[in-house]
Amino acid sequence: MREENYLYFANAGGNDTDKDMAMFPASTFRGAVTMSSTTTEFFFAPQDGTGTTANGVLLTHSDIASGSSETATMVIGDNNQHKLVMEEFAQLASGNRKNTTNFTVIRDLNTVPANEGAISATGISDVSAVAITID
Amino acid sequence: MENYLYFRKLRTVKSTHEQDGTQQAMTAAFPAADIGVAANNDNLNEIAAISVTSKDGGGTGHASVLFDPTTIVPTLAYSTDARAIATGSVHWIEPSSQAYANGILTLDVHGTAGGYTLDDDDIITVYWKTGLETAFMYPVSALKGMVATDTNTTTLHFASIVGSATDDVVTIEHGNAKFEDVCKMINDACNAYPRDGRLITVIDGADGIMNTLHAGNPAGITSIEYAPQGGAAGMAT
Repeated sequence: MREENYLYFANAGGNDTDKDMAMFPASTFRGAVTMSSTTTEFFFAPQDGTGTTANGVLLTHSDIASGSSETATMVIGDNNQHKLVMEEFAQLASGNRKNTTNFTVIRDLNTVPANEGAISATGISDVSAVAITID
Repeated sequence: MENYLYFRKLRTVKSTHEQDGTQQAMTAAFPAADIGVAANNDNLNEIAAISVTSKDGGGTGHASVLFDPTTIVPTLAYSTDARAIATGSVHWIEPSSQAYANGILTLDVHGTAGGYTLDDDDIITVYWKTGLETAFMYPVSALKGMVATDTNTTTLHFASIVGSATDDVVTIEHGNAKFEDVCKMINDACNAYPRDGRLITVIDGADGIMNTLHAGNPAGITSIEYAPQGGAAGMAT
């Protein structure tokens, strides 16, 4: 058995169109970069085996700038939502779970099947949207 | 299991610049103590807000912030009406409508679409936020090595995040001859928690405070620059 975590992402679609879901071995993770005040993209080695293009999962999260007070609006240098999401990702991706299936839900926003909802309620609750790019 | 190395660029909460002339481009870059090296500091989406404080009422502004009182939580709305300029008056400018390159902001002149025509000695204030490539992390396995490039600069090479044959490079500005301190810190970050695997904050310049893995910043790190080979246009999304 290969003792490796497999990282699962699913967007809010119905798991019925292209790239509604993706799963990557944790060992294929290449890094993550902030893209905007509310998005961070996680990159993986491409599934097509070329090694020359990227597969990316863009995660949307909250922005402290959206606070309701003037102070929160203007003093936003200490926005750590990105770091929070990265840290939670690291914890999940590196979770050492012996004698389990190592199936690791990073974020599952899927709502089907209707009588069951998402396949797992676990994952990073701070993430509100998932966009998957497979080049 | 492996660790993940976290870096965040130096960014203060806000930076100010006093204009020396009437041109629209700032006459100097924001201070290195606020944003690190100005070269290639180009990401406009790191700017949350821009204000211009009139020195003597001389400028011309068509843009400022209005608060919409009809909502319970007021939201920012940028007006395109002509604004009264007076000594010390503060005017908020739409960040996404301006240009930013190499640490220098160039404001649009006033007009029906907004903007502000600067006057000598006006004070420009920028409030920073997390934007494109402000922070990033790599798995330890992506680290290829590091090399000193001059007496106070060390570069880290990581395997390209998008699969380019050319490495992603993190450039660390540090105290003179502190190469060994930087190497020791990276080594400790890579090998911490060998049975676990965690996010290790190596360098974090949030709020303009340079925090490093080694308490007290013995390497004297002042800033980091980040050059992923994919760049903004090359990202997967």
